[in-house]
Amino acid sequence: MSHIHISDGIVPPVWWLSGYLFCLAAVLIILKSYDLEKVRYKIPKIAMMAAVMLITMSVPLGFIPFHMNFAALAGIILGPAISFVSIFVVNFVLALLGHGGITVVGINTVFIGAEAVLGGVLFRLLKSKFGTTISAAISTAAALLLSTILVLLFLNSIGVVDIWSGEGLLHAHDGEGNHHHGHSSFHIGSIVLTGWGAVLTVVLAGIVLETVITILIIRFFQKMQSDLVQPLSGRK
Amino acid sequence: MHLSAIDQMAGNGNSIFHHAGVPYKLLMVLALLIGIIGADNVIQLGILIGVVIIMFIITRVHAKEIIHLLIYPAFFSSLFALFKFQESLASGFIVIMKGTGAALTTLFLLSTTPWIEIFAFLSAYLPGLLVDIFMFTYRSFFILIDSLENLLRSIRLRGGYHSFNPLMSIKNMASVVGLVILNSFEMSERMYKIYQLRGYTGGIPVVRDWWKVTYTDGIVIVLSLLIVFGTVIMWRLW
Repeated sequence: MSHIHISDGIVPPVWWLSGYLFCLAAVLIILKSYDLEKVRYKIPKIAMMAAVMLITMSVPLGFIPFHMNFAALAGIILGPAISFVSIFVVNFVLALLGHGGITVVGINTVFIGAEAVLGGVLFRLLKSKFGTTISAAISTAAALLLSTILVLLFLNSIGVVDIWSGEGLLHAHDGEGNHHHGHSSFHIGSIVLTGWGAVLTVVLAGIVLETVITILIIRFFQKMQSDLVQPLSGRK
Repeated sequence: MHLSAIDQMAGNGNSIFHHAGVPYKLLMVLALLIGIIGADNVIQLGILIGVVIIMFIITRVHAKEIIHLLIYPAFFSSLFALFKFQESLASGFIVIMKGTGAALTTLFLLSTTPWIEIFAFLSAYLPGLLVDIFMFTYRSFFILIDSLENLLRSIRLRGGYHSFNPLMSIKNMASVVGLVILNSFEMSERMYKIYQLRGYTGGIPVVRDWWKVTYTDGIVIVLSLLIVFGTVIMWRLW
């Protein structure tokens, strides 16, 4: 859900270079940790999950100014480590198509990757105790909340938003898929929310919606093909 | 997303940039990106964006899709520019031009170079697993889009989507996404098995002399050098 829609030239070089370094180091370490022969047959699954995220990240929800990521779902299905790699791939492809700057690929991967990693780790830890549905709900909601907080703190630290007033936090897509951003206001019928009221409403609505949809998808997988909700093996 | 349109432009184009080698085009795009992101005045950015636009005109690709894809970075950067306009008019325009110019440059690469060519070149330098994920994500995207469009159409026709009943719509849409993912996993696995049956062992086994210079590569190299020198000279001037 949290995705930094910042064009090139806005984030200071020290931030985006650090983001790239961290992200590339993480991707290389993860790839090194897998046995290529063992993990190769899982490539279609990883790629398909990346394609799912590619589509969901570019489709606006319409009624709230957010789009879903399914990063937590990727963490649950693929496992925390390899989902981070798939998120790097998704961000890179999106950036090449102009959806977010090419310089913020690293930072975006770190934030959305954190969502996938936390989602995957929590699901793995909670699954045996609480069952699939509750574990999916807790892990998805916690992951979305974490990445949202990380993004807000980052944007505040580079001066793009004011965390105290809530200004400049939201973005929206119009009917043609174009984005609007900057002034934090949200309309529910005749009620207009501004500042933090608008931000919290949209963030909570986004978290609830993505969590509900993730639960429904996980439940669907449980019914149709339960082995799908298992993290990838193939580590060295 | 216009991914298929961009793919069609890259695959069927017939300009000097379409014929130029991948490594030289990547270097030119890198030089342009560094120039645009590192620029700090409107004239310098204007010249660099002008160069990219002229290159686009030479390639004769469809402007409609490129312009539509550019709306996103243009709109976003203009919103960030609103803060900068308070400092000065030039600062605001620099933000817009940087965002739009960088996106225009990456779109130039994609509309003149098929993805598979880029992956094939990168497979010599990047981990094989990463290249495979890139390549199959790209393939999976088209499988997924096809399945999704068909399924969404049938769900609408059968009354599974109601704007006045959001709960039912969300439930049905989640099932649609789940079903599409399951079907696409199967299709993608089948595709991968077909690849393996045909001898695929990972990566893109293209034996090609990537660094061999043809006359179109020469033009791209000269252009890249002009961009680099021009940018450095302008940095010194301002």
